[in-house]
Amino acid sequence: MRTARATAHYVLLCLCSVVILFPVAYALLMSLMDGAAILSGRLWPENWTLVNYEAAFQQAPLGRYLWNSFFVAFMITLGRLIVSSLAAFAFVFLRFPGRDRWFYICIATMLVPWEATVIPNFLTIQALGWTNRYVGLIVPFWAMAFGIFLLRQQFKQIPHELYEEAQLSGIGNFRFFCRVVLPLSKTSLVTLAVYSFLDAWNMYLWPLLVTNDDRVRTVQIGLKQLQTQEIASSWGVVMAAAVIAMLPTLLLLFAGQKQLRKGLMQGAIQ
Amino acid sequence: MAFLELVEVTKSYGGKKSAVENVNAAIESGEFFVLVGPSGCGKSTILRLIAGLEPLTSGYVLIDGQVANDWPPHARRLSMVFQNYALYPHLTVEQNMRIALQAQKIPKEEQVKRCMEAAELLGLTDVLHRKPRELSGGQRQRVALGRAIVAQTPLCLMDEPLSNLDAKLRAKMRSELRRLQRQLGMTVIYVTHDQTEAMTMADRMMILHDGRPQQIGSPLDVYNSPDNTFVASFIGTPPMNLAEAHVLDHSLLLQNERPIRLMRRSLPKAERVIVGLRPEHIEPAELGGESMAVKVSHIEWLGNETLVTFELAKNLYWTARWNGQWRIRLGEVVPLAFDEQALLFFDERGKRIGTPSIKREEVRIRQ
Repeated sequence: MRTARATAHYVLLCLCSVVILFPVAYALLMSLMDGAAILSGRLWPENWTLVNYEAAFQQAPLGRYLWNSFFVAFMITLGRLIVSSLAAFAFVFLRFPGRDRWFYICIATMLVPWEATVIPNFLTIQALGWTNRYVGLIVPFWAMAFGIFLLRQQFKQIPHELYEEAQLSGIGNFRFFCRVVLPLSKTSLVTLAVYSFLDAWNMYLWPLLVTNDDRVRTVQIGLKQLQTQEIASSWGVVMAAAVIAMLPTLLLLFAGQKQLRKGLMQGAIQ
Repeated sequence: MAFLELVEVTKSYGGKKSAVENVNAAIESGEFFVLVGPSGCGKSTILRLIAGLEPLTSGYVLIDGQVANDWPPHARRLSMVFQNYALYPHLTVEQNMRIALQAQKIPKEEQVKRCMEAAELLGLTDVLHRKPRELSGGQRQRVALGRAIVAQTPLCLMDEPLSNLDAKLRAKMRSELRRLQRQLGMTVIYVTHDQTEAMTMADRMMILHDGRPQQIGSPLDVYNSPDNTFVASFIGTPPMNLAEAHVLDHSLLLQNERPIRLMRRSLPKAERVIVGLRPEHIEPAELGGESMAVKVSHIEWLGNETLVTFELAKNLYWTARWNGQWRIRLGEVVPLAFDEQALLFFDERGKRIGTPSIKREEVRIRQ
């Protein structure tokens, strides 16, 4: 009876994973077929070929896009870690009037969908003259309520006596932050970093709005362009580019999966 | 001049009742001063007020004769040993001891020297490169102590440092701690809820109850001459025997039931009193004469002594402590005699009648 039930579960899980993975797998297979094979609707390539990858790099400045995406995602991640951890430190360890109220206001901003703030943000960036520049792609994403929340929950687990001991022995706030708080919060920091990097890497709307220059455009926009450049899209090339764009995401996910799950769970249970 | 003075120190957290009220004390350099009381009596709060981890509501903290109320914690030049040790879990023993010295920009050779000396003193040389979780409870305790020693601050605050250790180790660390303190000439303010720790370690102690100081004095003074019934029952194991009594001409009537004739002792003028008597002042006696027959209700044999609990009046149980091993059965009726001179009298509100044998500290304020 139990074996039967387990078997049923696994069959169901397998079916689900096939459905979910099919588009990804098909994209990978398409990127390895030649144009004729794609148009004839084959599922499995007859002649394995890497032409599409060559074409992708030739038809669009894919290398440039990838670098832009990487740089932007990296800087957003770094900035978020710095801003969130400093803010969370203040909310946990420093005493100032209305501390908890400020924190709840900060958390409440999570209720506002990001899209609702796109227009004011865009106007600000435009007024600062930051359109078509990396800085316009990066800075608006540094402050993040979720990051502050996640790290605050982590920092709260650090015994307060450690902070008091530091105060007594003349270890300043910043030194305590660097030498004690950050090393003790590695898991949560990695979680936030992975989450932020993926978030930034997959960003589409914002880069589309504030850039129209190949020199700063990110790979997600590049993909869209590749698809619409020609009337009859060469799907093999688009899929090749998509696979390339997907790689860092997958690599990061495999590498950080365990930490990510641990960190997110920690935040959820608190 | 006292090294540390507390003058009318009061702390309240917005509620009606203060957590700490009107604490006065003068602590001399090199003294081992113990704050003792049941949990929630405000003893840890006093420590935190001295350390500057919490602001005072009113009163003064004087360090070396200067008002230190507004000094930040590190400017007070003191170290603290926390109950849970507050060791940095990701740093090794050596790093734990040196991190504060690094922050104070003390030269590296000096850091290493102090660290080595402290490790030697505490027997931690072999574990310098281990992390706290790889140490036993006693070793962690020593590391916390080591951190206080390398800081070389004149004053060290200890917040129940031994309460996480098992009984045997605790007894060993008590004497070790005292030996170290004398050797280094440190001034220590030590918080504990354990009256045995207070009795065995203190030069002087302050007994606290509900945030209010009850008595300050040397352990023996406090033991022999408690100012009130709280101190009398808190200090000493088993605690002092207490009972309400009517004062008659030449005798006391305990709980309207049990008369005690007093031959050689003048009685207080009050009509109703509370009498107190330490267990060691109740002795076995011969039948007849001045003895009193009581029924034994509980016996504890400790090997070198026997604790005999008996019912003196209805629901009034007193305990006697007799040297040696006594073969007594439960329910047996035994004759007892009291040491009259050892009787203490308190008024109905628990305050000692007659002048306490030791005077309260005089605390002066200098500003």
